[in-house]
Amino acid sequence: MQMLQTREQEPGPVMSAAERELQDFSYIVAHDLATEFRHVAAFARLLIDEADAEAVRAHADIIWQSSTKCQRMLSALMDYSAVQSHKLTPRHWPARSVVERAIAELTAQGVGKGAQFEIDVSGQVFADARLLIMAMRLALLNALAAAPDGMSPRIVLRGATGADGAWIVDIADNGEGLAREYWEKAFAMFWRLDPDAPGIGAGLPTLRRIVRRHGGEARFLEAGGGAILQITLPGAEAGQ
Amino acid sequence: MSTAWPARAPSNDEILHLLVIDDSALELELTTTTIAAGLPHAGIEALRDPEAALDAVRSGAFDCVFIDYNMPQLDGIELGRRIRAEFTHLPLVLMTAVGYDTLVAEAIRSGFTDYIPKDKISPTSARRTINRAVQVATQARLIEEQRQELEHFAYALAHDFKQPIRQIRVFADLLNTELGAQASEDATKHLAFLSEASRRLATLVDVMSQYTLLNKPPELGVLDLNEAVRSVRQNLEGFIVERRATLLADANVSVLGNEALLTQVLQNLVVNGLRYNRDERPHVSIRTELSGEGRRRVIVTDNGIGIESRYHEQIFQPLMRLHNVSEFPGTGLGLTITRKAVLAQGGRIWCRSEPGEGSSFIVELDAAPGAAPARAHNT
Repeated sequence: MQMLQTREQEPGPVMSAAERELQDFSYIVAHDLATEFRHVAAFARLLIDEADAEAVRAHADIIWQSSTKCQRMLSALMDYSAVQSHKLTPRHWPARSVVERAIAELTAQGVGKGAQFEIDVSGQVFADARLLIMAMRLALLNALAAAPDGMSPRIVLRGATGADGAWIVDIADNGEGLAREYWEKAFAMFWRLDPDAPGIGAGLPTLRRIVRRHGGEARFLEAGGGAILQITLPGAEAGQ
Repeated sequence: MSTAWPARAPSNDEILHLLVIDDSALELELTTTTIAAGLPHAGIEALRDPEAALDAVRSGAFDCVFIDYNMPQLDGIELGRRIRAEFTHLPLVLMTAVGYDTLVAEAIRSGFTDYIPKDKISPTSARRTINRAVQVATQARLIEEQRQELEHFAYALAHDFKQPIRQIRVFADLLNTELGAQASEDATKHLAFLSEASRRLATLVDVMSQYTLLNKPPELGVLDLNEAVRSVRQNLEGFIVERRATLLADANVSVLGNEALLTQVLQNLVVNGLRYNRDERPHVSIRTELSGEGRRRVIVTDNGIGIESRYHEQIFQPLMRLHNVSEFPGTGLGLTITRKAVLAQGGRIWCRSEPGEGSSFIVELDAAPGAAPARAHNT
């Protein structure tokens, strides 16, 4: 079957050259954009400090906000992309320790102070620890942000291994819930229900991408009160 | 494009779902029995009517499809072509009575993953062929996914940043009027830096948009080169006057290309020639010649600063800036995009230059209608 060999060789180099080109291009542009955003933000900051007129300060502040937001978007986009190129090294981990580690990382960053976590998580996950902790952190950040103004966040996590060996966790928040029409949209990059809310809308798409790289899925479920985000990871055999 | 086969590569342990299409009942029985002996756990569907094959493929999630070549109603290669048009990565294997070389070449061109002569079908060879076909297709699908991924990335860069960058520019302009003459020297200087950075941001995002547009195969047609030059002259009128530059063209020929892309290519080359130029009267000329193979060469020559020969290939790489940005501002992406636009039209581009002697960029495209117009679509 020498024909098959030529088939294998033919598309390979051509595609990878095109890939490399686009990859170089995207990353270089991303890097250049990052540099310019940094410059704009820095000079806007200087102008805010230097200007006497209130209007100038206000407008320089808008520029500063826009450019720092762009910096965050750009770095989120790089993270999102890195999920795909990250080499997976899946191992068995106690699911509860992944959740606890994610909460500990958030706490260390000063996020989620005053939040209540109810953790009822058992079973083992077969996953790349770094990515899964990142996914869990993003899920928790999403749930924390859902709490209505003036109320402290309350998050309930229930996770266990199902009959088919898949591990499933439901993450419920005490927010106002998410209308069914947004269940899919919420996973689109930079999509936000409320454009004025803090955040840039990169967390859920990155989370889903991590979960999907493990052969799993992330979705919203019907909930009585707040939203329920469900993450499913296949068992060790199916996930490889 | 949706493909009705599983997202993961089936491993040996997994149950394979196969479809075998052959109009002869006897041959069909023989083939399916042999394959079943090689892959006892595979689910095998047998189909005699090639006209019904496409529907069958659409409704079942097959891992591999075997197609007989010799079917009077619809020959196997044509059937393979139709299936391939809808299912980019589905493994297709052609079964031939006699393995003619010409037939095999045509099969591969039509999108078959592999072929197997009927007299060589044994349980072992069938299993090996299927496993290999599935592997090749999986590889191709992974590469395609990666390519799409990078395209999404480029798309997001080009689109999601447009609006905030516009906002930055609008407010920077506002600040320029608000800051006024009484502003401190520092504030004036910082605003100038800020405006400069925001201008570069806008250019970068524009360039990124142009680049992502080039990822779709363009429609090609016969173009009057003079028309393209006229567009370039119109688009660059202000730039040419401002630089006290001249643009001469002798372009009474037609080429095979895409109007928007060809204009972009010429425009980028003209801008390049006038920008990297210290002459008091920057000058660019466009002329044409025929290559030995009868392809049309469009030659854009400037009296600019020239390029050392060791950079002649590198200048087409992204962000390959040979010069200090402050002396010759530019994104460093112009020639990368130019080359991509030329390649997209089935052409090629290279440079002839020496420092101090100006540069010539040669764009080679197909000359006439009918001269392999399918070239650029087959990518």
